[in-house]
Amino acid sequence: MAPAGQVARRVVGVASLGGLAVCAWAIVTGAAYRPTPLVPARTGGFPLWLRGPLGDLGGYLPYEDFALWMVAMCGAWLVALLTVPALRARWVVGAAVGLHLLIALGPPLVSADVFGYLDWGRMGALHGLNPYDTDSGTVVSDPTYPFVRWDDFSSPYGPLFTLFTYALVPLGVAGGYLTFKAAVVAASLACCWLIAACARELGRDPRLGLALYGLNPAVLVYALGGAHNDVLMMAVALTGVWLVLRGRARAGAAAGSLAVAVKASAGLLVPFLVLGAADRRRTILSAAAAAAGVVLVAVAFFGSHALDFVNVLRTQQGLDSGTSVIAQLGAVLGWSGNPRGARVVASVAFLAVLAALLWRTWRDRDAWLDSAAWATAALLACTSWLLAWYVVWLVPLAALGRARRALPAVAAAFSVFVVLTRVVPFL
Amino acid sequence: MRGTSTARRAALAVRPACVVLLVAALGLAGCGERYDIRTGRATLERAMSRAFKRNYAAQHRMRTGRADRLVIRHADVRCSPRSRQPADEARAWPWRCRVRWYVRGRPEPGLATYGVQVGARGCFHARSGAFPDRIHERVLDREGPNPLVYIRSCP
Repeated sequence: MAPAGQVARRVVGVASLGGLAVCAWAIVTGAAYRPTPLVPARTGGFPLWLRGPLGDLGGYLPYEDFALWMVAMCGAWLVALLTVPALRARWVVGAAVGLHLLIALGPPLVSADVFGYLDWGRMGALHGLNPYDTDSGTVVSDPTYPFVRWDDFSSPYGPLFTLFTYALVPLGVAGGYLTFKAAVVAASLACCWLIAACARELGRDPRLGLALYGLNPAVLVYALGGAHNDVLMMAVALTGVWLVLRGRARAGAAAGSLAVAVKASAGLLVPFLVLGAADRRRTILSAAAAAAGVVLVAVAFFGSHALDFVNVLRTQQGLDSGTSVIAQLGAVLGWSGNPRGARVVASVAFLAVLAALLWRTWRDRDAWLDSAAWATAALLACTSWLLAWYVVWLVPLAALGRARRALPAVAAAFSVFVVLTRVVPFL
Repeated sequence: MRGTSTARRAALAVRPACVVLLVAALGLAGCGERYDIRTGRATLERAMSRAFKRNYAAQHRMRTGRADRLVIRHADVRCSPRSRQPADEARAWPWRCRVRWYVRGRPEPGLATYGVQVGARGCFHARSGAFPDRIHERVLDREGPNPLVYIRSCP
């Protein structure tokens, strides 16, 4: 490439990084300035520990303006992805870290789920109630209650995660929230590092993976901004991927089982981790031993109800989100929401794709990471309950698959899809 | 050679330009509309109605152990300021709100008056003496603070 062309691409790339920073700044400072629907937890008040320190630097941000900033952020991100080969690695790393820290300083964005996590922890540790047998929001007199938005289901999360929330209880509501948020930010930065480390193991340039995950608006605003435990799950799951790539398949499979104990959604990755190992039999035993340990801990602390969390995927297929691919297809094909027939077809399609990908990996070990990414993409495309932060299940795997163009393209398209389906109605 | 040195000069010039542009853009991004008025009558009435319904549902859950977000059919709120907005942001702005609510399945309304303190960002604390201070919390089998006595929320 001619040096002048390289410079031009670099300039555009740097401008896109600047654009991402500007959009994130506008969203975070605006969300912290005044309580708006962008911060659902404002039902419990808007204290400094919730809104963060940047409120005085922003202006009023109605949802329509948030939607515009998100569209602009997606545009800047896509440009950054296209120009990333021209950018220096340290710029990409600096931008990812800077955006993570900026989002960390803001209020919990677009979701109050983090208070549901804390609520279940307090229920178990303070009030003697089993989170797997008690609906969220049951203890009305608890100080988390005003911030909680769910009130009608028991914990769908893994026992390892629930025990982690127990450990936060002595910190109180504000301390627990801030510590949890810090843990999610640390986990997300760990995901960035693991993506780069895995890319190096595979002999790839780590910049694309870093940009795909670390600069991704859906990851930053929805997963990180909302402090979702999916990020914690992916940090553990990616540790498993990294270990397998370094030839420590048994430890990797055990890490996969531990990721399932954070959130069951990681269960989709485990069979691929096992099939990708050189010694499958020993790797299965290792995964099974870790799973048995988790079951023992779960039953000891929470009784047999704790194992219900593995049904989360089936339960979610019974839920109905208007932003799922099925529901969006309905706008073209003439149905509304997620009708039963479409759900059944989607479930069958997903199972068929999963079976084909497992068969492919059985025959070709080296396809395990690629297949895991395609299986996750298929799951997200076929589920009737698609939340924006679920992209963190897909993006890191897509960044590392063998299909170096197709998988990142699918992950980028999916990320833009989950953002646009949420913001376009407000434009 | 000339192309390369031109490119290098361009690259050197671009760096400070990018920094200036970024700083300017960040300044612009932080310049959304800022409001001197903390709240308005309609905003506070809507927010208070929503908060009252939520806290009524909380009280219902506390007593019965059952979640029913729609226990209140309608809560009509009328608010009026008790003074001008204080110039000092640290001081609360006092309002008074009257709530008339209708429980699902019961035609007669309930009535309560709240003293409301509006903070600098429009969030508020509301207190009423129309309800018992403490009620029985079924799930814990002990007394707890009545969520209708003290309401804290934001628009």
